[in-house]
Amino acid sequence: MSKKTTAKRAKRPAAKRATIQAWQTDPMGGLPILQRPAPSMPGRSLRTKIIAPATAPEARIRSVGSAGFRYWTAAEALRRSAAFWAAAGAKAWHKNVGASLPVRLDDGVDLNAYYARTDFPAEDIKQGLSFFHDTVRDVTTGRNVTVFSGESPDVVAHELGHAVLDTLKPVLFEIASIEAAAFHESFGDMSAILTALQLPTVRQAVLEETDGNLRRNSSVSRVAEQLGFAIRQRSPAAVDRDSLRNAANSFLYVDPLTLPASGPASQLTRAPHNLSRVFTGAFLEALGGMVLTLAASPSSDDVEQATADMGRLLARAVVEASVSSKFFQSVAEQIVLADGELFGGKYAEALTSAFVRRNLMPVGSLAAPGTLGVGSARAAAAAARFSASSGGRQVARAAGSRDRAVRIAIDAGSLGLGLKTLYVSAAPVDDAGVAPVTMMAGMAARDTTGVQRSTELHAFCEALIVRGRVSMGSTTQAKRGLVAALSKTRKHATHYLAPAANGAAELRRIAFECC
Amino acid sequence: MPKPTKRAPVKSSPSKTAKKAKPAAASADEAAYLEMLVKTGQAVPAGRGKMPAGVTHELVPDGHGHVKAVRRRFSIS
Repeated sequence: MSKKTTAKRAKRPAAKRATIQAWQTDPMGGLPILQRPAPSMPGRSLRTKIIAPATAPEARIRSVGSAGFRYWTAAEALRRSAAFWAAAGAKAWHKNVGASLPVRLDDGVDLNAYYARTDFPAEDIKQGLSFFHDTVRDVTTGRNVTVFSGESPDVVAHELGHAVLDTLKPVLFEIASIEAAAFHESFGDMSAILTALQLPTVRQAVLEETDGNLRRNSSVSRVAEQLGFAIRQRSPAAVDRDSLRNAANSFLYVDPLTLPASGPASQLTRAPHNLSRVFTGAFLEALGGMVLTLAASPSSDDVEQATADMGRLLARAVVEASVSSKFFQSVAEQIVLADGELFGGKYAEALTSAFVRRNLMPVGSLAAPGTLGVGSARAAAAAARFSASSGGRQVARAAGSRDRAVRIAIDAGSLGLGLKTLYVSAAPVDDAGVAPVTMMAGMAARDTTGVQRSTELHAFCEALIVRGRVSMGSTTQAKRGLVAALSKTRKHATHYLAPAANGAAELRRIAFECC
Repeated sequence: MPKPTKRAPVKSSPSKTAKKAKPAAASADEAAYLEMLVKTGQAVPAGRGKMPAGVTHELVPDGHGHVKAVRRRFSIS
């Protein structure tokens, strides 16, 4: 820049930015409207251009329900989300899109929103982001409610997330793969959650709602409440009960090929939006864990830092992830690896425990800090699976009676316990020949070979650990490991590890639970 | 209508072809994906004009007697 230009700019008085009103997360998100400086459109990086309406209404305080309000709340969400992803590492839109992402705020009647890379005039598909409106009858009040999908920052940030992922990983657009399509939807929802958390008022509200544990159900975990409400009036089973999709869910990964093609939202299916909830759920758990890594009693600044770091992890991971039918696992592994490279493994515990709990990584990865230090996450996963498939070593029967339990030794290393041997009390009947029961119903289950009782015992222990039911006590080296982190997530453990000879441990039950 | 060539022995419209032809799937993942698209109504035969609400893919003839699903857009629900 020349000195002349600089001098001219220096003389110019700083333009006072007008104030507009906008939703923070969603019109039905529970948080009040917020007064914000009018965003600069189309912005500097990842430009966004509202082309319909063609002319921007004057930026000023406008009443909820007016077209002017909808324009500026959408514009604010577009810039908030674009700024976040630009800082995370997205440099430009997909080359077909060009320098500015075109946006149509109301392209007709539909309860939906779309991202398209290019125009297809014959099919009336328009490049960029398209939002719509529709009127539904509220089944509770009988009143008609008109919903504009572009009025929801959640919906805007979800669609913009598609555009971001399309520039980071273009191949996902065209490949016919269940997990690739589902991950695209998950990325959109993650974009909505991360975009919401860029507002200090949202961060503060969520910290209060969740007592600092962002893994809990909150106004941020619930994505697109209003659009979900509208769809629910017509198809009650098509969406979650409190939103379009709630990231605070309990869905675990299973092989999509074993899932039905479609079904109600209460069930896991292989439809992309439905299946996406597995990864989004793991993401929310990981994000909540990252926040708690930064501070036991997190502040708004800690949440902001965690979201910025998560954005960088995601942007790096999706680029590095190998495109396969197991894309969820591939991204999860790359996120853990990216943490090692970008942040020195600061979030390894939070990330790995979240992905293990969701079956996106094998439980053996709980030994991740040490393992990842010497190899890749995929190598760690492979080692863990190999260890799991090799089974345990049955050493001795405690008694000959069929009514008394036998003590069986299994490989504790593959459980991430930081010791070699774990003794488990088992039923005296040897079930060899029966198909192994494993908690890892998905990829790990397929990798488990051999029909041995130790496999079943291993799966039983694995399930306890993943569900955080094992109290570590002061027994084992595992107190320093990630298994201990899992045990902290549950208030009431059902088992504990008692010391045994030669540095081993024994699994003992503390209590039964009703649910 | 131009005469059909040997490389493209398609006499009917693309939409009719898409109805008759079997999906071309190289893997179980792809086959399951195509099945899901069709069952959930997210894919429609190409050449039918404006895409219905919620539809994200078109079924396009691949020139080998099969159809493939081509993504046109992403949706939020």
